[in-house]
Amino acid sequence: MIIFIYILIGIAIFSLYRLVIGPTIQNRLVALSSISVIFIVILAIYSIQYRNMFFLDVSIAFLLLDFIGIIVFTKYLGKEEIK
Amino acid sequence: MNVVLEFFSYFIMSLGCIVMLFAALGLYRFPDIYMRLHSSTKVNTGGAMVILLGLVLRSGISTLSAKILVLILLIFILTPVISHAIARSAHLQGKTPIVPFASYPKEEYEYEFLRRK
Repeated sequence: MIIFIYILIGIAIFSLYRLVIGPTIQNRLVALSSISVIFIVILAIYSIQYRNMFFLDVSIAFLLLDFIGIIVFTKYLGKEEIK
Repeated sequence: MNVVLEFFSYFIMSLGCIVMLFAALGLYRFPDIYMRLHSSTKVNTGGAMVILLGLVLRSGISTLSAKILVLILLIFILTPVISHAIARSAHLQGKTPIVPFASYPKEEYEYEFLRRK
């Protein structure tokens, strides 16, 4: 069960490449949302493994926070071009 | 019964890990923002839902599995909305995709793709 956490951390580091040298902001946002989904899955696996309900609440709140942040950021990017 | 269920949950979780690895590979490899969205976000949503479903199978009927079902529902709703918002902002900034739109006639489509290549 713990090996899945290590595999997912490796995948997150592998997609961190696009976050660092993405050419535009949208590429970085795609990588950021991908990494946040991976982080949510890691928290859920950790919570099931150690029978701790606290991390599931953290993962649900993290998903909502990530959603709101990216929606606000993309609204800002779209409006900047319309002017 | 229990051993079979546990084996099946391990199998489905490793399947989801392979799917998420393919998502990261597409994010690394594809040339355009729209192709990266096409590869990354849908595949990531499916992989995360499959891994969480394996966790539900492993956890049995309890409060933890109910919360994980809520998490699956939220991922199923919210992640495509994020993808759509990113694609909309890229479109409003005037970025055109490398591969032209599929609403072109067939010959012109193939010609355009070969010419850009």
